[in-house]
Amino acid sequence: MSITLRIVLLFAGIITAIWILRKIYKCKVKLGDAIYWICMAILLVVFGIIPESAYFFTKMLGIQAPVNFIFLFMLAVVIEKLFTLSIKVSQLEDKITVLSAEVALRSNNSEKQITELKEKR
Amino acid sequence: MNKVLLVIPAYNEAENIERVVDEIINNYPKYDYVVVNDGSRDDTRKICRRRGYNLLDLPINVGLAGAIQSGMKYANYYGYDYVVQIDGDGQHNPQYIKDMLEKMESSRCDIVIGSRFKTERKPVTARMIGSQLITYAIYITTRGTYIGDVTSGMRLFNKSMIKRFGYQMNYGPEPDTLAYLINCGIKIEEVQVEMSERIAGESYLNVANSFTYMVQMLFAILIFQWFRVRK
Repeated sequence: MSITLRIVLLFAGIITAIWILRKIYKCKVKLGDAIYWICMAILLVVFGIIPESAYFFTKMLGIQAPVNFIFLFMLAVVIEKLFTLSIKVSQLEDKITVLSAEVALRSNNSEKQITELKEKR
Repeated sequence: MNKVLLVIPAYNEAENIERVVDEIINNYPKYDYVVVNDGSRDDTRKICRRRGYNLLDLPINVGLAGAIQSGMKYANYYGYDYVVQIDGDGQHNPQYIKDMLEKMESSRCDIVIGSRFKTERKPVTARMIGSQLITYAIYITTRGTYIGDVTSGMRLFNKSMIKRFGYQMNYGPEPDTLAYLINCGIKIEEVQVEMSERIAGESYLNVANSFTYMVQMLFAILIFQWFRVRK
């Protein structure tokens, strides 16, 4: 790997870490969700400092250049995140549907009760 | 007389909730209570409605942290001075609430944990090894505060904690919050309590979740808490 790529990886890792830690400081992210990004940042830094770790996997997978392994790896990791996020969005959408139905039901119910009480008086 | 509210989070506790709440109504009428039904899929809600329990009925499942937060908001809304968190499965005996309140008043602390391991020894099981790991993590990061029962679900909070837990992000009722709070200068004490085994129903924390839970706790305690704003 070229020294430029290594420096870029190193900086990308550091910036990712700073960015997510700032979000934690500002209470903008749940701690559980930050773990993924911290691990990502650590991996980027590791690839930047110890390129031998990437060489190992490059050889093992029969890829020509280590930089290609880095691309493949990042893609895989990002797709995994995309997948879990997509699942999460589905679940959230479902929850909103249930939530709005419940709110409507309950307000309907309380309105009925109010009119009943009014009629009794 | 200070106002005390028992918050009882209940997720699929149809088999237990009646026993737990009736015990409080019959034997401890001096404490107010609220059941937080966390979007249960079983008959928890029906039972609470039928029995006329004081119920916060969350339409969807938001998890323990969200359920506790709702309870805290309720407490803040009605101006309670103390909140006791008690599980809906009947593990926690309300008789110890008195001890916990006394401890809070005598030591002027903000949180009292009903602990199984204040004077007793922790048994060696897989779950307790995990618990001990978290205990050590808290001990190291807080420079010497030893909390024996970090995962205890029986906790007493005072008024300032009600506000924090009710309205701020990342205040789950979990050990990482305890570590962070200690480093913010909040005083936490433990009181020895007996807990019974859960009689029926399933726990919030099953085996599959335990590993994720440990990873989350250790990350939060060892790394993230240093980057949270201290107040």
